[in-house]
Amino acid sequence: MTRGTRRILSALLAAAVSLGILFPAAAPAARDVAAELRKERGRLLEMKEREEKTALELTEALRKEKRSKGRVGELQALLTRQRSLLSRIDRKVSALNERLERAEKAVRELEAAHGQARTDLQRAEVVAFAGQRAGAGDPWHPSARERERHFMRVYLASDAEGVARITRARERKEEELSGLERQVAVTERKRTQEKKVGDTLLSRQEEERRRLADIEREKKRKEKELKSLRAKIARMESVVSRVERQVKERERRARKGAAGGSAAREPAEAPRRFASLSGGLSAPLAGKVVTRFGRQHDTTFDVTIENRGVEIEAPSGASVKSVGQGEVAFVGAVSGFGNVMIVQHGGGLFSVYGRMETFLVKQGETVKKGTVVGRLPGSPSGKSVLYLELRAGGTAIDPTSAIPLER
Amino acid sequence: MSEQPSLWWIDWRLSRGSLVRETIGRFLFFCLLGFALLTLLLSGGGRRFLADRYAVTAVLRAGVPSAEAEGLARKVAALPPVRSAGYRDPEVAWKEFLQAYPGLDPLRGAGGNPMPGYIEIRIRPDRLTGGDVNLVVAALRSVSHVEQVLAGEEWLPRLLRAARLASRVCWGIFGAFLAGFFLVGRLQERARAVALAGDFAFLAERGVPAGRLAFFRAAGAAVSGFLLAAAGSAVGGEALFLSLRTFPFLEGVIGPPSDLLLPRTVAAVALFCCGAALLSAAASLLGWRAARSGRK
Amino acid sequence: MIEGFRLGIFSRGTTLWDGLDFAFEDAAAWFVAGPPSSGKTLLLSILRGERRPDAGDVVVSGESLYRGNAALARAWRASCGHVPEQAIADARLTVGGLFRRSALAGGGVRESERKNRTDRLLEMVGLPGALEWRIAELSISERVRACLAAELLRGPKVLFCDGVVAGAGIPFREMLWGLFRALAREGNTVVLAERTIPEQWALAAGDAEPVGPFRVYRLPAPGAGVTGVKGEPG
Repeated sequence: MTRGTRRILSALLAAAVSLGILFPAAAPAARDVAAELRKERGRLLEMKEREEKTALELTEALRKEKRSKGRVGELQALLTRQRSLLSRIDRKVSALNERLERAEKAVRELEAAHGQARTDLQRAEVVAFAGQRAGAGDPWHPSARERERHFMRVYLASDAEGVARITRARERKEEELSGLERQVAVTERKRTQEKKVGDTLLSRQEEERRRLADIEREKKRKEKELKSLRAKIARMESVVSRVERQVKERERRARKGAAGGSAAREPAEAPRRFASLSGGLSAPLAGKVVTRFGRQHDTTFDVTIENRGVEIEAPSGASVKSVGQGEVAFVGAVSGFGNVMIVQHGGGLFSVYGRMETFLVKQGETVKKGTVVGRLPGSPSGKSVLYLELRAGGTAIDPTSAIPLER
Repeated sequence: MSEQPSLWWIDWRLSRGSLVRETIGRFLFFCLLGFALLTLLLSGGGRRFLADRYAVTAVLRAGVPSAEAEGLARKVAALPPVRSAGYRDPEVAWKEFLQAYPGLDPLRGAGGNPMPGYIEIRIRPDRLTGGDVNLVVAALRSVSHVEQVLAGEEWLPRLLRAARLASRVCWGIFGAFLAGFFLVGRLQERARAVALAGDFAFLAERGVPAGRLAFFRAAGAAVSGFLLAAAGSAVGGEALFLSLRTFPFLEGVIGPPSDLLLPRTVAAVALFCCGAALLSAAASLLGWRAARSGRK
Repeated sequence: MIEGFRLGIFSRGTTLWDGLDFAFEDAAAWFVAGPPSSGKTLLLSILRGERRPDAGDVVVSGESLYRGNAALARAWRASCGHVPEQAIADARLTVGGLFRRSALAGGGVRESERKNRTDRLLEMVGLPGALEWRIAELSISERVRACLAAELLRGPKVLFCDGVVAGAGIPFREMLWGLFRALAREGNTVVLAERTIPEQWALAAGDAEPVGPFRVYRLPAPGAGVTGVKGEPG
């Protein structure tokens, strides 16, 4: 239920409390006023039903908007990460390509060197063989010939070692090249995949933005409609309030007349302040105030709402007690508030208990402060919320100012 | 005048002409033989030739500093069988190698010089034997700087055998010539004794004992043989000296001219002269005996 | 003095002679005559010390030739001159060679002296300028005279001549007579061995001393003279 809806229902409840229950029997003049009041009340109810419905739709729109914005944000974050990932992949591909180029160049150079070295070695072997056949060196110096043959072996071994070294280097480079090519292929595939993902994200984001735009349009429309309805309701409430004042005046006059000028004047009205209530007030249950009294700005939905009461979160099935001594004036279901119980404390002081599941007292039963009057409903989360409203002279006051409640 | 007649050079006094011819012939023969003897002595029977062509190569490990290599070469040169030991650095080795295999010159390019430095050891001609070579090789192999020693172990024994054979052949030929000299001399002595038999008989009748006659004849032959050998050796030596000076390439085969005046050379020549004297005396005696007994 | 004591020769299976005593005084010319094959040459060889007698001994100046010092015997032989009866076998030998040979045997004859004396001696024996003549080409008389002259070159103290008188011939008998006697006068001893003594010589010598088969004459010294010797036919 949205805040606006709760405000509307609070106003309705106040009207019901003030008019429908306290004064069940009306005089003929009062019947005109009551008829007017009923008529107005009917109209107000219709408007408020429309408001409620519009508020619900707006709430839904807000929720959708929030969800959509959330999705858009998530998609944007994903897209950003995706782009960042793509950039990294691109850089990696670029770096791999550079390394690939260098490796290819190195392999070509090594192949050329290998070919040259092999050619040199073969030619050296030919020269060595020819030299041996011809008797390299001075034939009259066998020691010199032996030395030259030994050095030829050293030379050929050196060349062969060189060839082997180049071969090994080339093989290593070719392995490195293969690895790089594989890495490049893998990275390219990954890039392609990520690009597809990115495209998907982009399309989803676009779709979500379009959806968001639709939602925003719907929200604006609803807000406009709600604003209009509220204006009307405000006007209607002023009318109802006027009528209430008239009823009260009439009642006062009636009581004054019924007492017949007794000296015993009606005791002065009880003070219209809960602080001066006999016995004081106590918290209806142990819990935490989750919705405060008064004008609140909802940042999620970016609306300003007026709370006439507070919502207290407590464990599911918790017992609800009367905040003070009084009489159960109403027990029943009220649209938007669930099971509602109203306790009259006298002097125009009422305490309203909404969203209860069970009642343990009847209408007209006297309760004391702390008397268990009902229980909260069960909830899968283990937590339930009690709606508490205090009215003094028809005006809602902040319950936290009269009752020590945990915030 | 009843004194014993002097029998010195009696043949010269009795038969001058034929003796002059014989003397000239012997002198020329000793010139040749002296030349041959000095050649054999200087060349060591081919050992000098072999020693100039044989060398032990100590291939050094890569990275041995030149100073250390040269120090090692000096130490090797101090070994008794070693005539000379010279260090060749890698660059020199590379140049020598390219000279032996000219086709390799353009192949190396920027490959660098793979050749190590080495020490070339020359053995003294008179110490060129398997045992001395093994001594040098063992000494070299014990040095850590030396990677490998090339001493021609496969072909050196054959070469030494060939050298020994050549030396023996040369000395054998020389000995054969000496033997020939002896035989010819004996024949000549016999012929002369036969020719002078009348004179000798005359002298024998006049109280000159045959033995004394033979002795003095032999002594004269010995002296003449010694002198002729000495003179022939001197002339042969001079000829060899001039040959070595004129044809320097012969020094590699025979040896330097200065070796002609070495004490061992002179001693050998003196020994040869003594041998020639003995052979001459022996030829004289045997020829005298053959003449007196009527043998040929 | 040359003495032969109890000389005996055993030759060809028979005793030629035995127990002969000889005495040849120094500085005299002795003539030993004996029939052919009587051993004249042997006697001379014994007396010269060349051949050892089968019996007896020869004493020269108190020294035994065959039982004494061998060196003395060699010295005696070197000092003796000997003109043999046998011909010289060397066909190539010249008169000059003969003289050279003699000079060699004589030792200490200088070349120049030899040459002078050679010429004189050759002239004396009637062979002037015969140096280059081959011995083989000479007559017997020339050969004998050349050998005599060659022996005289050495100036031997004792001269043994075998068949020289007969060999030289009658024309040279007077020369030889004078020569031998002159040699004796100079203190040399000459011992001649011939078959027969020339009659004049025998007359001049006087009685001979018979020694075995030999008859030993002593030729008179120069000055004693022998008439009819010169040119007398033998």
